[in-house]
Amino acid sequence: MTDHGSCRADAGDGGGTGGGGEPPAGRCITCADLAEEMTVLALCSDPGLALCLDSEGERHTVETGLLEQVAVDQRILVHAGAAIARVTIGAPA
Amino acid sequence: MRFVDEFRDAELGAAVAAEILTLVEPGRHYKLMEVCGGHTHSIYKYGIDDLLPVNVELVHGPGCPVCVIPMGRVDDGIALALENDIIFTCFGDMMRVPGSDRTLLDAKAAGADIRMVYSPLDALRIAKQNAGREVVFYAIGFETTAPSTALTLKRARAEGVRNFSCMCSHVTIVPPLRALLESPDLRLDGFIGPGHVCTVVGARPFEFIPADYGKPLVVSGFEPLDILQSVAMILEQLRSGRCEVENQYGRVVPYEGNPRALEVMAEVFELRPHFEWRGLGFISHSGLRLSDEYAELDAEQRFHVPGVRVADPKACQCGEVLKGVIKPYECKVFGTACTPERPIGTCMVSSEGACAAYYNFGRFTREREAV
Repeated sequence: MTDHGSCRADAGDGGGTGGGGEPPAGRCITCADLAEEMTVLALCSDPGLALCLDSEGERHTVETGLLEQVAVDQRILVHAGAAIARVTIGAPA
Repeated sequence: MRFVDEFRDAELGAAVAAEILTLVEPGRHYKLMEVCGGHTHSIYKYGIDDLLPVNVELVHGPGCPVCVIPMGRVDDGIALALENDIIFTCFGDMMRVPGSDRTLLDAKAAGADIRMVYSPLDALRIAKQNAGREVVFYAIGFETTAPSTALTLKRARAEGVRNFSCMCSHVTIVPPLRALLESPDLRLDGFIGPGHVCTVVGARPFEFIPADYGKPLVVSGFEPLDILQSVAMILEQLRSGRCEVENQYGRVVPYEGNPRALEVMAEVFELRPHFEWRGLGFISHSGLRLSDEYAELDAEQRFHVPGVRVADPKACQCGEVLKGVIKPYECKVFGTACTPERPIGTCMVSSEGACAAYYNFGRFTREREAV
């Protein structure tokens, strides 16, 4: 079996996708239709996984199998541990 | 924070709010439904409704996946966790959803090995660390979440993790919207579309709403400016007599969605003939189960699941809240017998639930001046 820890976020009990800490205040932990923008820090040796950074500076191991050609520094939208979309960076007009 | 603060700019927000004022027709009452619980949460967290004229009413839709899980389905999960020597994993908010006589958290206190996870991948990791025990992931969520579950099941199969299975309660958003639109006691003028569901399914599945029901829908992001702009776009459509699906959340949502995610979902899941929704009853083809190809990973086939059916508590009016017929504060038990600490209905459990959003942000009444 492949070890997901090959690209492990520093997450207390062993590198969970959620970072292992308390959920952000006032938010449903994962289950609602909420997703979080993250930046890809590194691609893991385990295919389909990447180490990503959220807006709070926390690292997460993220499934990237739903996106084509994920690269370092890309902005992605992560929900329930999986990248579901690429973010086109831009401020409102 | 870069790329976040820009969408929370108060000056820009005031400008969009001023534009909205010019778009409303005095004397006309507008009812717009935000489909997604994430929108409900943002609206009350940022006070967006206070920026709207009083004749623009936001109605809260069924888009909180915790809120729509019926009590019987919770009881099924509890039975599975208690009657088998398994590790039962689920998202955190699911643990507080009341079943007929207890929650998953109560069952954990009674000795069941129930663990909170942040993603299906975490559940799979637990399975790999506990090869001698069965690990079940209780999957809930709309099309936003289902691809993550699907990927994890594919990974479990590819890696030969045989002690992992999934109790699937994933649901789809279009059938309940159609049911709501058919409801005789609900009059809506337009929809704020579920941005993150649309990253997966795209905007096209919602074209039936303008085509068949004559209501505009704008796919919206979740920041305050996103929601305000979406309201303005709906009102502009109504003023100019247009009726179509528009995409405000173009920085994330491709109109055709994520083809790879749809492909993975189609491989791993199939539609159930019926699925029960709290407050809405049974809706055809609105729930997902594992496909025959993934049957060996289906906890409902691996273990005995009672299939409990329980009527919603009489005092609870979650169904009417979910249909947008009443505001949370109009429920008989809102803020008294039903609070986030001791919820009766699921809308009070999740922070994306309409009742919890109203309660947590102090919205016990609505007092605004008419335009």
